Amino acid sequence: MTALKIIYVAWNILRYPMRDKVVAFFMLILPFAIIGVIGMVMAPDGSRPLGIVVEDGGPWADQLVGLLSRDPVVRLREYRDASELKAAVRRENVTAGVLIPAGFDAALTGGRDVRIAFIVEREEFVPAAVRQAVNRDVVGVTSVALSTHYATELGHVAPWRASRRAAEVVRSQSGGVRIEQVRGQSAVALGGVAYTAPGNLVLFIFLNVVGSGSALVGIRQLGIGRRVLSTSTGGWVVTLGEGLGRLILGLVQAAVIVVVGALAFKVHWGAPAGVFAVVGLCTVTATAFALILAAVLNSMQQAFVLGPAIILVFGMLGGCLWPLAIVGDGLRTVGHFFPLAWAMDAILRLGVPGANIGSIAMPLAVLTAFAVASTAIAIPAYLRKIRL
Amino acid sequence: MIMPRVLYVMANELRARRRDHTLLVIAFVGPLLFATITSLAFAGLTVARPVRLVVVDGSATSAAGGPARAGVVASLRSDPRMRQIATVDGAATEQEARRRILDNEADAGIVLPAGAGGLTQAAGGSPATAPRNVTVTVLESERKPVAAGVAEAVVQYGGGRLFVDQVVIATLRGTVDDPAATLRGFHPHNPVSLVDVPASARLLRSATYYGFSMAIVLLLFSVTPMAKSLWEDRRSNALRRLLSMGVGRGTIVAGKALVAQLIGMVSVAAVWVTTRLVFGSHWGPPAPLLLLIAATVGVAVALSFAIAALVRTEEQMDGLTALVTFLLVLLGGNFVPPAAMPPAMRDISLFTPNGWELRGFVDLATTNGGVGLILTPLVVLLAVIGVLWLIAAARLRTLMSP
Repeated sequence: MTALKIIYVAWNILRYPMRDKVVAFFMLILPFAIIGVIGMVMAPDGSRPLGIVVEDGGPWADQLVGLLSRDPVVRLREYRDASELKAAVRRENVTAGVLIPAGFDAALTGGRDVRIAFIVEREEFVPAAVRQAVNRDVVGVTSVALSTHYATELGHVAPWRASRRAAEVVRSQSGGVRIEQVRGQSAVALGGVAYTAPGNLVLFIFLNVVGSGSALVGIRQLGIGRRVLSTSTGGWVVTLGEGLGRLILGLVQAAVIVVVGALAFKVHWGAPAGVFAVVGLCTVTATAFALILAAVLNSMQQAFVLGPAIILVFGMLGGCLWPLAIVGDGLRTVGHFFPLAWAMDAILRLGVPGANIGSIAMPLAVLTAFAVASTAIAIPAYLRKIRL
Repeated sequence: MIMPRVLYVMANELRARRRDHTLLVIAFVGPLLFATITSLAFAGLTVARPVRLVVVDGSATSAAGGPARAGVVASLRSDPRMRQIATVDGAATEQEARRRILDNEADAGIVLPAGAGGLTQAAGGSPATAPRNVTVTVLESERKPVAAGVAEAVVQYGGGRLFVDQVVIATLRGTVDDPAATLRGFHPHNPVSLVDVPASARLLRSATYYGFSMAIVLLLFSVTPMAKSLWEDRRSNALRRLLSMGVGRGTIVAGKALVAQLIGMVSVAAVWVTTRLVFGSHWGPPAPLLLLIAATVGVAVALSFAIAALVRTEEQMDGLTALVTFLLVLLGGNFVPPAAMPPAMRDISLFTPNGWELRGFVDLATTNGGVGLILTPLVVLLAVIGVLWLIAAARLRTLMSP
């Protein structure tokens, strides 16, 4: 009978998101919108917009523009002058800009020094691939121009023949210097959805479960808890039912992200047992957080606004919004005072080929400690509060 | 007579908000915390110049590292342009280079394969017959991807010169007896260089961008309580009493909206002052900046009243506010700057008011321009405010009917 009552309380909680369109949006649409958008942003591939201004046309300048326009790494956008190009870079309409100066052709054929300006605004957001592509194409045109010059001067070859021969050499030797980037610190792939999907899995379990804590405050405010306690139903039943409902809510949220992530975004989550363990512990901890917030806060408005804001701060510190690898040691240490950072460590490690539940023993142990400690605080706190 | 009534409504609203500790957290603590964490997180992506590069000869069998490494290190050290952007040191093995990057003793690494001696010669300025398809590996630190970009540039600088020499020699082959020797007499050099040029007077730092960006993330939540209080006043019959005493609907709404405007502006200004003092962020000239902040807050206030007018319950208002905030933040570029977005998303950001707010802010923060510089964003934001108040006015009459 007691078990049935607990299930009935839990069922009441689960009915709410089914009816509320906003909750449905937060559970079913927003996580994937973020995974999709941020995933595209963080993806290592894909062309980037590059602004270009040619101050003074000529065959070699035209060749450079032609090479850049065919380069798969960049998408060219032409601008009228340097100030317009700089404004576009400043406003971040383009990733960077290239300014081919007046006299480029004359300098190139005459062997005089000429500088092509690579216009940037924030170096940390200029993908290395863009700079590399521009450099490659500049070197390609320079090679052909210089070769034509020397073959004409020293080898007495007709300019058109020398130019064609040099272009053939460039094509055959492309990749003379190829740059291969390797990860210095981690084998975990941090690009694209491989990162944003785990980040949003952890973040949205906490966000939605803790966010549902505002309803708990409402129950308390309206005196529903006290009225239930006046019947033969005990406080334990209410608390366990409320907790169970939120636990199922979190697991459903996690299942949706894991399944859609795997099918639609081709995310490799890793060993199912490990993923289930992490998701389960996150959901238990999030449920405990929701009960603690409900016990501490005085109004639904407070819980509605503060709950998600607190979780967003935890998410920032825990590496759900960006990789903790890029932040300083201090911020990374602070992040690990919260369970979200340990959950991210575990879930990212599971994505590495060959990893299993044993590979995440340490994060699992810490997450278990968080789950046990927060539950031990949450249940008595909520029980005491609903009796008031 | 109308003005004192507006002031009375404002004073009453301010008294009510003073007791609201949630508002204090959302309007002041939240934006400051968001801005601080985001700024600190992205601060690490900017590395101090010169970056510390470690060069290793991948084919070396001894700790001495092989001739390629020694040659590259010496030639890069002797190049005045290179000295400005990087300090170069050698490592005996690739493992040692990785360890030094992990231990933060180096920012990035360059691994030279067998036969990369040509790179040395190219960097030294003398052409040579170099092997094809030389593969150089750049070791990137996840903490300092920009440093890896510098390492790439260094390799490209030397490699680019090598490549030019290769092409010239290959083109001359068959037309002169000894291309390399012939060229040596002419001292050819690559006259073209790619030089980084900043787009503006001040490079936009992450702490600056995210300071303003995060200040406006929670703005809608900060100003919503004032619009929501219309619902509370309706529930408690305070609205009916005010209307029966002859206080006009416009006066009530204006009083609440002005308080919302005031709180919103103080909230953004608090982040401005804090990021200025803590991170040295420069948000731009004060006069146009205050206009932009006023318009930014004005949009949030108008939006909150439009939402209050459109919903049917207070719970709907909370939900719709959260939904609109997340959508605008995601599409407008608050977490991801427009340049890093896919092309379609970048265009969409200009269909959001926060997209225009951020554009105006970037213009102000990176130049010394005046109001003229942000005229277009201001006009767009004022138009958005006008449309939102029209929507609100059309529906608020129903909400405020006795």
